This record gives sequence, structure tokens and C-alpha cells, in this order.
Amino acid sequence: MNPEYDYLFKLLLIGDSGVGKSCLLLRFADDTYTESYISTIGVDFKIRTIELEGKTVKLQIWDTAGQERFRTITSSYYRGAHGIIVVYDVTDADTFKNVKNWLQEIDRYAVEGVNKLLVGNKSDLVGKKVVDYNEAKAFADSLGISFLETSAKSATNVEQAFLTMAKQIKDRMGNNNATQQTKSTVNIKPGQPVQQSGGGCC
Amino acid sequence: MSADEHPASTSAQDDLAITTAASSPEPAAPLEPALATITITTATSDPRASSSGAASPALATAGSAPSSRAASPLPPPSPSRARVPHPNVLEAASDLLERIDPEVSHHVREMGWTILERFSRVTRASRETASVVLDHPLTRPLLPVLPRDVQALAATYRPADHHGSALEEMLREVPGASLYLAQWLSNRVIGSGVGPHGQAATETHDVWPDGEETTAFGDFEILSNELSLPKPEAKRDPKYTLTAALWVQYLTSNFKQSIPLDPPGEAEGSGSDGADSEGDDVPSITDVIDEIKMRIYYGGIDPDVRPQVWKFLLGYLPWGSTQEEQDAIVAKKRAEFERLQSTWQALTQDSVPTAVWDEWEDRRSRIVKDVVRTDRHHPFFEPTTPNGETDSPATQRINRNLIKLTHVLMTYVQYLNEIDRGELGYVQGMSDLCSVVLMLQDGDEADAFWCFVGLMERLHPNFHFNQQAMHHQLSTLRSMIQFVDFPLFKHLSQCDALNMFFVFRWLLIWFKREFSIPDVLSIWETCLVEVSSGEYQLFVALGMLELVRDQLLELGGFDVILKFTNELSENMPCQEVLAKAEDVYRVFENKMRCVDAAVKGGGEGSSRVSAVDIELGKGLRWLARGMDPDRKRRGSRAVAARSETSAERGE
Repeated sequence: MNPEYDYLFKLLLIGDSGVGKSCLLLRFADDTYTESYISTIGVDFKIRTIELEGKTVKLQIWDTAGQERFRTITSSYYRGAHGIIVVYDVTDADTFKNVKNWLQEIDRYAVEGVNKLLVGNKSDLVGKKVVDYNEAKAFADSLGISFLETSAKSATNVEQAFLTMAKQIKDRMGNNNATQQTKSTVNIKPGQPVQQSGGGCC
Repeated sequence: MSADEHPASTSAQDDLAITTAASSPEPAAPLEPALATITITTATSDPRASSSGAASPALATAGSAPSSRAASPLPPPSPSRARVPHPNVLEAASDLLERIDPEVSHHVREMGWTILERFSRVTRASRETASVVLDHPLTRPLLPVLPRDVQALAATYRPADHHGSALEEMLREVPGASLYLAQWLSNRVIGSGVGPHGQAATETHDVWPDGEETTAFGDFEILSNELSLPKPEAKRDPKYTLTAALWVQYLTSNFKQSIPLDPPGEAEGSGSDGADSEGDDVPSITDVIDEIKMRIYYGGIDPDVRPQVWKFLLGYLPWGSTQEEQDAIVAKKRAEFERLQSTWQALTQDSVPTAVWDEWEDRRSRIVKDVVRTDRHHPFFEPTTPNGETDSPATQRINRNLIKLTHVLMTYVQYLNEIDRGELGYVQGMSDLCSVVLMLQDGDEADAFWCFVGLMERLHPNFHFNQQAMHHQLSTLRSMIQFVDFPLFKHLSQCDALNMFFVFRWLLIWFKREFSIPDVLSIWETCLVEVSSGEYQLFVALGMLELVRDQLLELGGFDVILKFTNELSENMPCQEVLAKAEDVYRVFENKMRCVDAAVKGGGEGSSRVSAVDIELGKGLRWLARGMDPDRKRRGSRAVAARSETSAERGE
């Protein structure tokens, strides 16, 4: 039997409520957009499989509730993530200010060496933009993480954001785990090259 | 995906033959391990048994056949599903078992274990499977499938103070329990051949064909696969609905007139839930309120009177108040709402300290962000203009109901500040709850506000900063599953899903995202009356899980379970969920009685529970409000009335 994919990466979207995490995911996974998307309660995830450098990579992308109140629940999802995308809203300075807190959450709960990406969403709202690109870029550079401005509405850079994340994880995995093989179990361990399929077909 | 694509996973477990035949003292040898095949033959000299063989080919192929209902997690509701089994079922079962092995009728305990052992042997499965069968509390109702003299012994396992006939109640469980066990085994077997993930769930639907099945156990309807506990005995029925006419009767009598749920003569066998059905004494208002709550619990509220009845359920209006008193309260509450609203509307950046203003702005911003994405698919909140145009940014801003929702939530934040609960603030999920009561009160802000206040009195712990109440509920639900459905508990454990996070959304906002608004109202009112449990939402959640139990058992990991439960949204039949919840509560209560007996010192019934059950039961006892002594006292008069009815019938 042919394996359905070569890699399974688990990504996590975090950031203040209302910055557009679910819309980014909806755009990337289903290529749709809706103006009044429902707020996320608890967590959910979507799947998209992509081709990356000749490999089939399955991305399982977890979407979390943004409000701080729910962090005791959402933080438990950090540990299994290979890459974490921190999202803010370019029209809301507070959400950018809070990025620091979100990065601290990553340090606290995620595994060491997890890949990070900063995303400023709603870039289509040019007239309302209050967070400067250069300021955010400089901030991201100072932390050594990648940065992109996106628009889930116009689809700008959404694909690039997730592909950037996937590429970084793949590079890291290639360096660390190139020779590691998965066990032939039904639960393929995320992030490891799949050598045999046990039926991971979700 | 068919079973033969998975040679590695095709084990002995893939094949199951349950043959319970009068001519065969031992179970038939299992089939060769080639395909996931189930043959269930239950044959006796009874001529009706002949059709059971005919069903086998269908069963044998169903395991690999794709379901035509694959798109839906559940088959469409079947109104005939709740049919009561044929009374001859029990006699046939007793006779059958006696013929299989007459020796075992000598001792109740030995008989029970022998039957269970046989079940475990016919699976030819691993020791683990057998132990899971034996562990399952629902195998214990098999005990009553015994000759009459042994049944009499079994009846003594009930505590003496149990209402009604313990034997009768146990016997009612028999067909469901037997079928449950066979069905459960069959699903385990099919599951092991189909693979761990989602698509298997729908394929198992066709293992049992819909419709009648005739066996030696008599005529009974094959339960569809989502029914895993004994066949529902839920009393839930539209005939109990609190109708507008009944409500008017209650109101005009100022809650002094009892209108029994089951009219005298029909009350027999309907449980211990009715209030006085006869007698000269005037019922107390507490009894009448209880009666109303029973109606709501079993039949819901007519939508025409729901907005008014909910005001009583949510503490906005006091039970037993006169019309004049109610008018006065409404006027006072409206004035209070206006005052609260004008207080926050008068806030300016200059009128309060910066910290206060910032916090207020933060909450206002959160509310607005959520309001514009709450129930926008619902006509109540769909953006429209007076000309009927839809969905332009301008019309969205002026949508009156969105503004009302914002007002009610902002006023609630102000209210919290004034009752020294300001730290709660607005939390995501509240807009979902508030939206429901705003729709219920047809957009009346003041009525919606006070209903929301009442609702949040019940639900505010869910939103506290430390989330302790949510964690407590999740762990309680986990223990409940362990208590009443150990195989499911074990499966969740294997899936690393015992944190129960996959039902977080269900419990946080009481299933608001899982059902349509009318269904949400049905569920909420069933929980709000607190008839059987003060935490009835946990039984609703457990009922939902039990309805999709077979699918859950096929899912192999936390992530797929989460995906599955999230996607149940608006795909669950509300009335079946509520019937199942009632049923699950009954199973829970029955088991709790055994635990009670054991705790009292190893008395009657105690041998039916394990040490683990007893520990779990102690921790869960507080959930069983239906077993409270004062509830029993109130129910006792209805029971007495029923006994008289039975006596008249010469029973």
C-alpha cells in the first residue's frame, strides 16, 4: 500500500480573539472566506495536504479560542505542535502588543525548538491599518522568526504563510530525524517521515 | 475500504458466530478468519425463528458494504424505535436459556457468570475482549434472563425501598441488554477489520438492518446501531408537554391545582414521577411546581408559552406570585434594566479613571467582536435593511437585533460590576447564550436581560478565569463514563482522550453550537428544571456520546474524536438525545442503588458492583438528585396511587 503522505505536521494558530485565525485556516484549507465567521470555542482543526519539494506533506492545523480565559485548555495543544503561527490584526494595535504574551505562552508550553511564524492579518484593510509593516518585521527579525502580512479575505500571502511554516519544519525534521522511522501503528507520530502506512487516513 | 485490504489487522476477532440454538448445547465453532463476518442465529423450535437465518447473509456482507447514509452520522429518527418489546420475549428467553443448560439455574451468580463466559468464548477473541465484556455493567442485566424461580431470587437484589416492582424494571431491561451485548461484540469485531478512522464509523451502520427481526427471543425491533445501552425506556413523550392550555390552568389556580401527568388508570408502570393523582388533600405549591417541572423534563414546553414559563424557570418571576405581583416585578425589573443601561451609556473617558475606562473599552471591544459573528446565519440576525436588501456593511451596523444583543451584554457587564462580580466580565461564549434568550423574548431587551441574568446564575462558573468548573465537569463526565460504560472509557483512554476536551464546547455553552435554536431551548429547559440531576447537562453530554458510541469506538485517536464530535454539530436528533440522556440517567441511578447497598455494608445488590464502581459511585453520588429523600417522599404518593390501581386490576 502506498502511504498517503510522507510527512504529517501539526500546526497551531494562536493570537487574540478576532484577529482572523479561523478565517486564515478557512482560506488555506477550504479556499473560502466569510465576513461573519463564527467565533471559535475550544479548539478545532482542519487538514490540507500539500506538495513540498517532491514530498507529500499533510498539515493538520489546529485553531484555538483567542480569549485568555481559555488558555488552560488551549495551552495543552502546544506540546504536540511542530509549528506555531502567532496571528495579530494589523488594524488593532493591542493585538500586536499581545504578541509578546503569546510568544511567552509558546516558551512555557511548547516543545523546545518549535518553529514559529508571525502573521499580521487583515492587510486588505489598508485605510485602517495601524501596525506598521517595518515595525512588525523588525520585531520578528529581532526574535529570529519569519513574518508575513496576510489577508484571509483577499487570500494574499495565506498560502505563503503556511508553506513557509511547513518548509521550516521540514528542514528542521530533515536535519534531526532523517533516519528515524515510524512504527507501523495506526497512529503515525506527527512530524516523522512515514515509512510504512498503518492506515493513517483521517 | 474493505477488510481484505488489511491483512495484518484481520485476526480471529474479525469473525464471530453467535449461535444460541436449542439443539446445540455448546456455542458453534467460529468461522474461519477470512472476512469480517457476523452470523447471529438464534433458533429454537419456535417457527418464528426461521426468518433469523435469512437475515444472516445481509449481516455477512454489511461489514464491507459502504453505507448509503455515509453522509450523515446518524440514521434518520425512527418514530417506531421506542416500541416496547413483546412480553413473550422474556418467557422465551427464560425457556431458551433453561434448555441450553438446565444445570445453571441452580444458582443465580453462577448462572450469570456462565452466560457471560459463553459470550466471551464465542467471540474466540482475546482475553482482553472477554474481560471487557465481563467488566461492562450492562452485562449484569442479563441476570434476569433466567427461569422464574431464579428471577425471584434476582429481584431480591433490589433495596427494599425501591419504588415499584424491581423485578419488573429489571425484566424490562433484558431484551435491550441482550441485544446490546451481541451488537457491541459485533461492532468490536467489524471495527477491528475496517481500520481505525472515520469511514469505518458509517460503514457499521448497515451491520444491523432496520426493521423487524424475529428470533427466539420473540419479535422485537432491531435497534439501530447507535443504541448501545439497553433499549431506551425513556418516558420522554410529547404527551407530557406543558401546553398553553395546561399553563393557563396552572396560572389561574395560582399553582394550587395538580394536573397529573398520567391520568388515573394510566399511571401504572409510568415511573414514580407523577404528583398526586388522587386523594383529597390539596397539593402544596411545591408539589405543583414539581409537577410542572416533570412535564417540562418529559415533554418540554409549548413554544407559545415558553417565553413566559422561562421567566419562572430563570427566577425572573417567582412561582406562585399573583398577576399583580408579577406586573409589579416586571415594572421594577424594567426600570432597573434601564438604570443599568443608562449607567454604562453615560460613561466617558473623562468621567472615570483611566484603568476603569480601559477595562470597559476592552470589554466593549470583545463584545462587539463577538456579537457581529453570533448566529449570523439565523434570520433574527441576518443583515437586512428596511427595503429588504441584505449584507452591506452599512446595514450590518444598523441591524437592530445586533445592537440589542450588544446592549444586553454590555448591561450585563455593568450588572456584574455592581454585584461585585466585575472580574468575570464578558467571556466568549456568552454572546451565544445571550442570543438564545434574546430570540426567545422576541428582541425585548429588558426581558432578555433578566433571563440572561438567571441563566448566568446557573452558568457563570463555566466562564471563571481559573476554568475550574469546566475542568470539574470534564472530569465528572469522565467518571460517569467509567461508571456506566467501561468499554467506552477504556477506548477513550487508549485514544488519549480522557481529558474530555472534545466535549468542552458542548458543556461551556450547553450545546448551543450543536443544535438549532428550538432544539437548544428544548435541551436547556430539560436541564434547568433539575428534575433528576442538578448537573443534567452532563447526562445530556453522556447521552450524546452514547448515541454515537459505536462510531466513537471506531475512532483511533484524540484528534479524530475531536473532529468527529465537532462535526456532530446540527447533525444530532435532539429528542433522541434527550430520551437517551434520560435513559442514561436511569442506568446511572440503578447502578448507584447497588453502590448505596454496598456502602451500607455489603447488603443486597452490593455484589453487583466492583470495588472500583463503589469508589466511583461515592464520588458521583451527588449527581443523582432524583434519589434525594425528599424527592422520594413526594413521589411516594404517586407510587401509592399506582399500587392501588394495580390492586384493582388484580395484580
